[in-house]
Amino acid sequence: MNDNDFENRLKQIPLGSPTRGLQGRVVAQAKALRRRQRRGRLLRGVLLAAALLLVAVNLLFERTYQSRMCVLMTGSSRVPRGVAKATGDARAAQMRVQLMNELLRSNGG
Amino acid sequence: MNHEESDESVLQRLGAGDLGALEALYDRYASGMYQYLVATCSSEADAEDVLQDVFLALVRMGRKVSRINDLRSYLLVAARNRAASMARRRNAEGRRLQRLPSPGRQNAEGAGAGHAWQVQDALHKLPSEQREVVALKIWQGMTFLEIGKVLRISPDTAASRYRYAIAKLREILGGMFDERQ
Repeated sequence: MNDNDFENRLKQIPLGSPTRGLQGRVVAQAKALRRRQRRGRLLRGVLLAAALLLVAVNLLFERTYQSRMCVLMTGSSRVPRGVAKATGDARAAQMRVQLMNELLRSNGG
Repeated sequence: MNHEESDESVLQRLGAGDLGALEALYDRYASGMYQYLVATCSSEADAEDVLQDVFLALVRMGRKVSRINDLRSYLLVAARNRAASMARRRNAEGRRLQRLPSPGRQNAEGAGAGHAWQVQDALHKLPSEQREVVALKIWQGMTFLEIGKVLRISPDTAASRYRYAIAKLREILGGMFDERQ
């Protein structure tokens, strides 16, 4: 028997095949994986929406707070331009200083 | 006339979330991959675990799965990498698995299963790098060029490993084929 014959004989002997249930198990696990992926995407979406909502609510409350402060200090709800531009702590500090100046000026100080 | 759907089209369906596409790919490639894995893994159970893992990895890829160009090579490389990690894990665990055929399997496949077992046993007497070349050449029908791409070796190296392996297998199995004549 030469090498070619030997190889052909080997080819005729299948080394076996996967058990019959394996395909079902793979598909079932794939379905479970897809469900987990969908749930994960949904959860990420909800978290992102919640974070955006939190930022929006925060901004809204800040604007309301500024308007009320302006009404108390100057009688007008219009927030001075410089205050609206500033950000974070700097904005709060700047607003207080600006409103105090306007209050002193309106009282003739 | 029913034309077989191309791999690209099936992969696109899988990427779009159609698990029927996974079944189609399984029908097309699982049997061939299993033959390769049985020759390279330390047990049939490991071969099935790796096979399952490779197909699930396709699902895990989501839409990116449609970017795969040569699916057969991709699956074989993925199977090879996973089989190697499993072998490393087994070594780390210090487990020496006995290569025993599962009891139900021989009954299910009849007389041919005995020869299959002898061939598997003989394959596992070869060094792993020769074993995988033989598995890809004989049971996958790949050329040395294709084998070289999957194993990241030159076609000449693949051919030389194959020749050594066949010589050794002839020594081990020669008697088996004489019996059959």
